[in-house]
Amino acid sequence: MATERAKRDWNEVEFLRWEEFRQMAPAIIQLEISRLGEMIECFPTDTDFRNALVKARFELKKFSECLAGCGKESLEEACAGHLRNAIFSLSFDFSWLDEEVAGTLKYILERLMNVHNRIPLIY
Amino acid sequence: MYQKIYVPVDNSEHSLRGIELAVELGKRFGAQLVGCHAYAARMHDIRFKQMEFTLPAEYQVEEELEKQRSIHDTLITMGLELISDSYLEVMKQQCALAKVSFQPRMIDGKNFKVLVNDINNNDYDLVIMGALGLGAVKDSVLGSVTERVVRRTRTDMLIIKNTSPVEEQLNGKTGAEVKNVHGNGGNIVVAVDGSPESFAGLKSAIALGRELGKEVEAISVYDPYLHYTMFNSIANVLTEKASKVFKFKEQEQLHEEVIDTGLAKIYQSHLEVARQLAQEEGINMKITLLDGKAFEKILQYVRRERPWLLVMGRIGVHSDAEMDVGSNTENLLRLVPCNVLLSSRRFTPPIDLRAEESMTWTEEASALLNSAPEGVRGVARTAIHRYAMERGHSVISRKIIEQAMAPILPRSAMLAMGIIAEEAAIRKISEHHGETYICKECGYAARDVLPVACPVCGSETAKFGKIDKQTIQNLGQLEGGMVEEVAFDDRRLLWTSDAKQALRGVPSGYQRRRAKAQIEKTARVRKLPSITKDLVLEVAGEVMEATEKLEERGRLSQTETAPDEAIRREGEFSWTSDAWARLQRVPEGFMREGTKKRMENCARRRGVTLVTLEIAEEGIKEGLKAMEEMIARQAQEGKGREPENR
Repeated sequence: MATERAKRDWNEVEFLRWEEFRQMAPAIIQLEISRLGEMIECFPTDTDFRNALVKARFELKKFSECLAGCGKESLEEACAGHLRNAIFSLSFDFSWLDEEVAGTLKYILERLMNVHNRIPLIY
Repeated sequence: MYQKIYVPVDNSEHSLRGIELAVELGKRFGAQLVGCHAYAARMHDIRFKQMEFTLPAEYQVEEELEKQRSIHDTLITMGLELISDSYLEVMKQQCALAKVSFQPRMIDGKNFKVLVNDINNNDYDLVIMGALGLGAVKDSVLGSVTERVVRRTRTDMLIIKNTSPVEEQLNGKTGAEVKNVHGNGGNIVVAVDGSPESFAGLKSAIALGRELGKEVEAISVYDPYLHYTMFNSIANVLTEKASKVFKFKEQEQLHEEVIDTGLAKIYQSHLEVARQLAQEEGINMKITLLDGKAFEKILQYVRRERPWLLVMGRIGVHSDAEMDVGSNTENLLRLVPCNVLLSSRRFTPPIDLRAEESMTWTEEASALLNSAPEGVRGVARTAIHRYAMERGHSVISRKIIEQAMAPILPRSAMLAMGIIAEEAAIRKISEHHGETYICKECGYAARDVLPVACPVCGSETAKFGKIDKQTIQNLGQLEGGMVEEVAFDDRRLLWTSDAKQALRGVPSGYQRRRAKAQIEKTARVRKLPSITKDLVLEVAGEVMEATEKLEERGRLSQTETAPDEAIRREGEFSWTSDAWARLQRVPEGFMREGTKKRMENCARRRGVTLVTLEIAEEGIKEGLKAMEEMIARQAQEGKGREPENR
């Protein structure tokens, strides 16, 4: 589906070389892991919200590890699932949250989606 | 140490000093010297033919032209050999005098190419070459042949920049004309950055120092300022909104913490390793840690200390192996006013070598290391190895990593980098009355029931750590009784009671921790012996301004209310500005009056005379509740009257 969407809405400036992706994605993912870590630290342990962040961070770490060891061909099959799981973990209604926290979460999601949507555009 | 020393010669002043030094080293190390002169006969031949048309008219005759060509050929083929012979003869005689084995070489071809070829295809262990050749002019800093050879070879190179007689360089000038502060011709300074090349350079320096009677010292430079520049640059292009989303200030603080404390410790540890290596050789070596741009600081140091020789790795710790010359080395090679030894050999200090060979990493530990940014993994791996080796470990576990990184990275940075997973929830646990189990792998928190497996990472029960409130409270009491506080980077700082009290004016949680870190950092930068209330107010004043009159639970601190202009007095009650503003949003008239009375009643029940926003909200809630009850009652009454209305 992602590939179809990519084909439909493709923009040549968004296509990127595998080497570029390998350089770009870990940096973004690591930053978002750090950001999630800070958020986790600020929430009490008795909230499901905190555990959702934990889950997202865990999946991002898995994705990051997987990315380090995989090739272009096996990326979608072996690694992208972890990134999707992380995105799903953060895909809850956070309108009830503090505006700043909600804004940060939205930003993290956008960044992760951006990485995810580039996967079909790797050449 | 040196068995075969190669000396390219060209009869320049620098080349002649190079010969002198090579002979001296050959004598002391028992090394064979190879002198080489490269000449470009073919180039001369081509040039002559190209310029034949400029010959005077009398030579432009067939017969004469042929004669001149023949003469030039002879000159080229024989003359250049004779010139080479003459150049090498100087070296030969000096070697003979010093009883040093000598081998002359003459090679026809493009000078740098044949030299590079000769060096790379032979087993020379040192090349001594002048920084400048015969073509040098006043502003020349490094000759092109030397530069090209440096870039294309991987043999240690000693570049001659000092043209004083070698006797003077090695033993110093006598009398009033002492050229350097040491009076002995200068020491040997080794720039250490943790790379195997720099450690090999240190070994060479120690060997040279021993043979030449020179003191050896090591310096290391770390650059904590680069990120300031980077952040300022980014700050200039980010919009205010983007800065907020990016949490720019917090990112900057995180980097400051990591770089200020971490880098200094890492580079200091390189110096300590260097000192240890020197001690093993029986040398008590001076070490100096500098901060700033590496080449600039080393240059300043060299200009001030005026050493005889600066030793550097050909490439630095951050270079790829394919790199020809590191940027710092290249800059310094051009700029320093002393001889330079570029080390291409590699030497890994034994502790690291042993660690690389004998240490086993658990899967978890490897994964944790891999989660660190790629650029710092090598540095982190070395630091962890050294830590583990010193303590006799043979297996690197997650715990070892935590312990090894603790003195290097501040806890906040470790948390942010995911090094401490289980710590993430501990700080908040005191609010929870039951038991909480934290997964040590990923930080997942389970309340009251110990999970069979972690629902996030799948770790088994044993990986969960139980944390209960009592433990935390005990810890809290212990910490609360101390006047000496541990700063964000594990240093201990003294807080006055007033300062601690003032800090409580910052809202608890993240804001307070951050304010504390800022205050501690300011105190350290200013080298203050203790943290006072004034400092707290200065650094965290803005955050406190809005809340300084309120205690943690939102109640007014009665002793501090009177002089505040933000307080409004109305009858027997005082109102905070935000509480008053909230009241003003209620429709004017009986509703506002009624709400005001409810708010005052709430304050009365609490036994305070100040109406805060919290109390105001409580009053409004009561009003709404009363209104709902009234509407419900009216609806009920309406139902009862319905048949009559119809």
